Amino acid sequence: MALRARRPRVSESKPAILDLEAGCGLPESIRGFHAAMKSAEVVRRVRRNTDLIIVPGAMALAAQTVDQIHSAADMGSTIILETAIAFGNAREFAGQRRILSREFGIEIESPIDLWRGAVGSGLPYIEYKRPLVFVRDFGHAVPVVATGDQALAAVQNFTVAASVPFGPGKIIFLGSPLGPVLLAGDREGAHWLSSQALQALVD
Amino acid sequence: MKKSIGDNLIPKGWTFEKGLDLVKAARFDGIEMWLGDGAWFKPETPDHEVQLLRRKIDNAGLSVSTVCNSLDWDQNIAARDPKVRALAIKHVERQIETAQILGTDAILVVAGVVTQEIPYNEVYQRCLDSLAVLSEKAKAAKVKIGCENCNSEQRFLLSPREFSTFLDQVNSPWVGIHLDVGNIHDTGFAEQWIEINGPRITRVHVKDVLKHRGRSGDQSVYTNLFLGDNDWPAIRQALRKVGYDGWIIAEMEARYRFAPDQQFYDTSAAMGRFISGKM
Repeated sequence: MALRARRPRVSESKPAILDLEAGCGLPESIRGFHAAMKSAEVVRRVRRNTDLIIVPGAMALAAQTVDQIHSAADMGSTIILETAIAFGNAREFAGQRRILSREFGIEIESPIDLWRGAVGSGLPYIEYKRPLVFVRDFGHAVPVVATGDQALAAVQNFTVAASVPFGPGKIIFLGSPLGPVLLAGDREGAHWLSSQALQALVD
Repeated sequence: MKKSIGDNLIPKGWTFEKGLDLVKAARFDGIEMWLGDGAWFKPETPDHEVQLLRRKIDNAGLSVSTVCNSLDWDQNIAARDPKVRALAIKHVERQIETAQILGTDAILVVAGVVTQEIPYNEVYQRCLDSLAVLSEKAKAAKVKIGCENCNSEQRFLLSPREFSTFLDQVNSPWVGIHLDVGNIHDTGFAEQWIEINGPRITRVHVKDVLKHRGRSGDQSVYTNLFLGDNDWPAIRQALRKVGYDGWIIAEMEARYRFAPDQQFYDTSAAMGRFISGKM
């Protein structure tokens, strides 16, 4: 009897875009992700068994948000966590840095101004991997420590996105806001996001 | 049509009262108040002091044509940083409030500044978002927001049709265009902007421009009325065509180096000729 190849299971759960409300520093990012991923639901609380969760424009990460990310990752979900902390003050940055490190093992560094001295030396496109695309920057970016395959995007020799395994799931940390760029219609950004989504939704 | 001139043109070192006397003596009908420019009119100026400004304007026999601001270039309603954007919304809201106190029904906003860093599509979307908020405030106050066409400086909404489409998308009768006929130097013709955007023109700024006279011939240079390349008879015809009979406001970028008060008399005389059609 011939062996049948196992078909990948495609998740039937809708992607969720988690609205952090007061904790979201870039509300336009929610709309951007939603515009690029129309099947996603904007929610204030993530349902169980959601395979892809997007957390746009995180400025403040409340305990409840942290718990939701933990639970989802424990269930094997992919969480795209976009920070907006480059627009926060020093105290807010220190707070987010501490939470990311303590709760998820994600180490970030102080935001960089991508346009300081950039004029005349080319555009600081964010170079995403898997697939390789170039996406518009959003002025400032938060570098993240990542090694090897964990590094997902870079600009000006800084890693600004990382895929961090977390239990059976993973967290994709975005140090350069992607949602606002999606809202502005960046095709390559949308392509990259849909690739990540497909990967998360297919076993 | 009525003639006005900005209080930002009052010669440096003059008091507001002395400036008003000059505006009146030069036979203007009104004055445009620039929030954030003169010492007398800041966003933090309390209501009772704004009321005092109005009394001085009334006593001089003048009206307020518009409330402008000099803050949009640093605090724009399309800024990326939400905190900066909030400041922009706040100063525009203050313009609306002070317009009510000063007895006018129009303000000017420079909506959106495109740079190499902050691209067009982003600016476009955020302008729509911010104007959706501000138009409600404008509606409640019955004050119209005129988005100025600063074509070359903004690098935004570069054609009259695009401006019209933008206003379609804003979709509020309380948001229109504050048309500057001197800003269209390199990208078209003022009269066509008037024809296309006619009913939505809230106010008109006037200045003249010498096209492509810069050092290398690649830049245009602002100048006083009738010295430049604007086709003033065509502009007047177009304004008549669309039935515009409101304020025309002098916004002179090029200032007189000597006898700055003389610019008020010369500009007012030129505007008078423009209105009468004796050109």
